[in-house]
Amino acid sequence: MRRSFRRHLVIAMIGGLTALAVAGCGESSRPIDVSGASIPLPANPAEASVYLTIVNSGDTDDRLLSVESPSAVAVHLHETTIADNGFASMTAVPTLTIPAGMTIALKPGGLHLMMMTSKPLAEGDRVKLTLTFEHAGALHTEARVSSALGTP
Amino acid sequence: MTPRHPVGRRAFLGAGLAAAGLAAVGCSDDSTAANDDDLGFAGTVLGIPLAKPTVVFTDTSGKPYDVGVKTAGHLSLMLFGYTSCPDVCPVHLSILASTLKHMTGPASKTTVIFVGVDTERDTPKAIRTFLDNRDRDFVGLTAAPADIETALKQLQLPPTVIEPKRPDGSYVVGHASQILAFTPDNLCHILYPFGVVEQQWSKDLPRLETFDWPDTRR
Repeated sequence: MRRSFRRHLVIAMIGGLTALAVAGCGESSRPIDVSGASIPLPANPAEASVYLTIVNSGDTDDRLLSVESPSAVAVHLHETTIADNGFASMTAVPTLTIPAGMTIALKPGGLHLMMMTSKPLAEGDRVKLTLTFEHAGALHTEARVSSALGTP
Repeated sequence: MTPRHPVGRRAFLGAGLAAAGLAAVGCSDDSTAANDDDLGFAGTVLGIPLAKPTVVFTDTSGKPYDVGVKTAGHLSLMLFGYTSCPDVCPVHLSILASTLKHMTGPASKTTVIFVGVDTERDTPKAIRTFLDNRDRDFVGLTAAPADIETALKQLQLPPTVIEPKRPDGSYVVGHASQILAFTPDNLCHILYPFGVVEQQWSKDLPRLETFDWPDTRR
């Protein structure tokens, strides 16, 4: 009984190591992590905004160069700024630096990805995104479309 | 930048708090921010209230819509935006739609009016689709560009800026992002900045229904 348990444990450990090794070749060992990608159910059927968080746990700055999605004809990084008089404007952000050790959140009223969608998105859709960084290369993530979002 | 409102120091402080709140609200459920002075509202209370715009708009069914007549005596919220706005406008509308959906009582009947300032793309049909994806009861309005700017001026809001087109034909629009609350006295005493969350609206709307504004007390 005891031996059997130990053997299972060893197998589990090997499994864990294998998983670790696989992960090591993949994205999770990279200093850049992209998480929490979400898309509020679009109001305009031709576009969508994507919010997510980028963490740079490395020692060097990295830059987000481009974002692509099979669900989009184009993805632009934008920043909303709201002046003291309430004037809201948007500027294109060609590249975004993620300083070493920093987290950058794309969130309503600030940085966001604006997707020109190839077809209207619906509640529950999962949208694949590829974020290409100068050093970390291409990272893949998925954003879910939800009507519950955008209502903090 | 011309001063919009002869607001007192307190209202100015409120705006500052609102801006600080905005920063906090975006990343968490922290909704303690954006309190104005001791009236306890989440918006910025104006020193001198605003009257409704006199411009006669056109609604999404093509009928004339006189805000003063249509919303006389009841609580209504008005905002300006554009249907290609990816961030501020749909978020504002999501929050208002969710607030009203979860609300009971007279405040759940609050009229929400969206004015599309990007008249090239904000056709009545585009506005209707945009709003229907949030709440079918939301009122969508359009008007000639000059009339929209007149309304903004009457409301002491910043004018619209249509940015030049990009090579792909898309363009962005700068616009006033506040939500004006017209109370049953047909005046706007309070402006809500972007970033006010559902919890704050749920608390404020029923109060706005019945609030006896000090400067309009007779």
